[in-house]
Amino acid sequence: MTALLSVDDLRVETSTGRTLLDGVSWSLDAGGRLGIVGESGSGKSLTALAVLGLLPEGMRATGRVLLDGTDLLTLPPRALGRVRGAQVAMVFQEPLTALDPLMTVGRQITGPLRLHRGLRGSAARDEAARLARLVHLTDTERILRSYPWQLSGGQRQRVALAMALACEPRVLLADEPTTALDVTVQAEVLDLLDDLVDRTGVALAFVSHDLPVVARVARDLVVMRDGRVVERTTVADALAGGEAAYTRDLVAAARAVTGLPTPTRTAPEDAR
Amino acid sequence: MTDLTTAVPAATGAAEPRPRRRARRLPPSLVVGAVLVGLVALVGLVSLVWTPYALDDTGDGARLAGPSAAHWGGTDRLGRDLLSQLMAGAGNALVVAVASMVVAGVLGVTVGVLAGATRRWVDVTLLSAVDLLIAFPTLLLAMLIVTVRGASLWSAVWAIGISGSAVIARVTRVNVARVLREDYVTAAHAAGTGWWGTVTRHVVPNVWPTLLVQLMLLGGGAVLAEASLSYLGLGAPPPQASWGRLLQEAQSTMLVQPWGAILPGVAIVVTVLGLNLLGDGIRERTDPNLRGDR
Amino acid sequence: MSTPTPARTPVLEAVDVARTFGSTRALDGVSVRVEPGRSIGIVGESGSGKSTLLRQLLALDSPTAGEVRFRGQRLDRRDRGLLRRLRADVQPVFQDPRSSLDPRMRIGAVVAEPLRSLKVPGDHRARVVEVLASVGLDPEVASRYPAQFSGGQRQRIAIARALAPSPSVLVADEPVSALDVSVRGQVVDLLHGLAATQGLTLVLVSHDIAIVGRLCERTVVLHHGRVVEEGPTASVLADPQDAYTRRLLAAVPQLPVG
Repeated sequence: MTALLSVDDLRVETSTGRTLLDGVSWSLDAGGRLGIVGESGSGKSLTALAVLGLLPEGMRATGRVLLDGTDLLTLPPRALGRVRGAQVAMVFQEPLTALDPLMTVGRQITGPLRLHRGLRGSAARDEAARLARLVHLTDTERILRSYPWQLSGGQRQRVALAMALACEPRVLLADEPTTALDVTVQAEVLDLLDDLVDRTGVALAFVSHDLPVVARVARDLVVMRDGRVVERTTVADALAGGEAAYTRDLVAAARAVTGLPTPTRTAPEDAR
Repeated sequence: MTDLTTAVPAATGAAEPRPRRRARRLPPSLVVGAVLVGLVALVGLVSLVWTPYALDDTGDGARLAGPSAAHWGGTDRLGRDLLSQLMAGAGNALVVAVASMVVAGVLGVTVGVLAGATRRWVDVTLLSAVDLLIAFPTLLLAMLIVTVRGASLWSAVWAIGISGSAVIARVTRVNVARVLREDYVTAAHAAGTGWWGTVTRHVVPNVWPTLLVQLMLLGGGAVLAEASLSYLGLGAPPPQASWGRLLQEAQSTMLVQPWGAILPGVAIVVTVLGLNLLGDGIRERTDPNLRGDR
Repeated sequence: MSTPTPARTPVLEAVDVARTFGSTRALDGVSVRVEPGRSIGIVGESGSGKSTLLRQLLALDSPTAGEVRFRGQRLDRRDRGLLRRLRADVQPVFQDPRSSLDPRMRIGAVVAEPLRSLKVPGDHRARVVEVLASVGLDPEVASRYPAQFSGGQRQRIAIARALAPSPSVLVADEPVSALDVSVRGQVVDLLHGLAATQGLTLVLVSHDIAIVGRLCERTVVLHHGRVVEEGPTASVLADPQDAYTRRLLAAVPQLPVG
């Protein structure tokens, strides 16, 4: 099976020669669900940025990032710009940074539709409304007329998802998309992502520090630490006991502090 | 985007303190700025004890002469040695810069801390005063002070210091308010630390690097302002040397003896540039965003 | 652990506390009893009013209605004597140890700050060494700066600072949510151990009902500034009565048992 997006021996170095990512390799099939998990400093977010050619000033990536056989790292900026958004879209932890505060949500969604898909006027508006419904935004009309700051965190993240999906990308890169959200809202957005992958067939790469969250949406798993890939496995195998000791530690830590304790395990004494 | 800034692979065990990578290399702007300012300061200090000629020595009568072995910088229209005037001017310029920084610093920091760290009405009142001061032209202020105290070096210092304090007050207030919102200040309050303790232990140490940068920039501005005031006759009167007055005196004889204008001009540029570079260098060195690991 | 007597005076008590900001009601008639030597968790999402309640319990803010009592006495922010006793006895631990430690202070000064400010008698330096040891840190860290430590270590330092004046109550505001998963367990264990060995009263404010479930005997669920559920943690988790609590529990991401 040929991968849709594959990262091959990706290295990122700073201008001072420090290695931030070292030989990172993974692949994502069409319609696949890949989770990239690691703690702070593991390089998981940097990997996502490197794939999109969005590395901060002064960092250099080597290796290969193949999208359908095309190496994105060697692509000139203009061509890369067309790939970004149209073929590979991204959602971030804080959707406010991705949204223009001075533009209504409706115009922000129709912008890429005009640019990449040539939709105009009512066609663009209809498509924007369809996208808003796709991400389960209720009261669509009002939301499309609102400005980002008038929306709740969960609504903003749905809008960001609608924008990401506007050009029917083949790959969706999600970097901690639910970390800033409340638990109940997080659960809704995870359900939505799950549903979007099923319905649109977009391939999902989900980056997070939170293993239970990753396990909720991903099938394949890349475990990262200190800029390297510790293990490539599946979520099911990792939970059953990963190959690498670090993966097992991560699973054990996640079991110890996240998720609900079963009352029999902790049994706090009754207060009275 | 959580781990972009902390994406440095830090191979740390949970209990192993991470050694801090302290940048031993000083920023180039700090070095160059310190050298330039140091040079001017040195010349100014030397001029206190020695200049090639006395400042009022009209010598053997060679007026408006170009540079020569006897007069390295040439002479002015009265036959006085330009280099000596220039050296004495350096001391003058630095006294003005440092004294204005002190005046602006003391006034500005006091007002800024009071505005940022006390009650709302104090803030509103002080800020209106500061806005008024910012809108008030330095020149007008200088003229008022000269009218009251007479033209002198110290009149210039007061004028520059007071008008500069407005900017320092604003910068202080903004930074004080920022620090007061930090969790460590809340933690200090919950630990019983009072207003004075919070200001001296947390606010001032976290605000002063930014202020030092502002003060350096202000020092550069003070040198320029003093030159302008002296040019207009509102600065130090003769026989005290001043680069601004040297410029003014050289104006009418520019075509005959250009050195009289070029040398003080270069001296002003070097001093102001030095102070600005020093400010930038301090910013680079102390910016908490550039050190630590946030 | 001390034996509970039902009629004991709570260390901290919020009685029908309301706090409004303009037209927003952040707290709306909240009553919470913090019993000495016990642990209580206050759970809520953003906008639940949990941070506002925390500020009330720490006397960093005054209620618009109702009252907060410290050992039976009504807290008044103008009552300096009572406030001083509260500060010495009730110490906070904040969410993000990166911002709760002054970056320009050495660790020794950070930990000694409550001792200095509260004018606690005795050898401050020895006490700093002692509390650093109790959170598992070497005395030599006292001469370093916060930036030299990892998140978990900084939270230990923040806990050491809180322990310095020998308080009987720790009020922890999301003490582990800013930390990496692998470090969270250690900090949770540390808090648990300190509460057990030193008989500390623990007030834990968190959005994370899982952490509360591990640390606290009683749980209070806040929603839109009101207490929607309160009871022994085991029964809140096993048999939630309120619809919102049930929704909160269902939303917690769980690892399937593998």
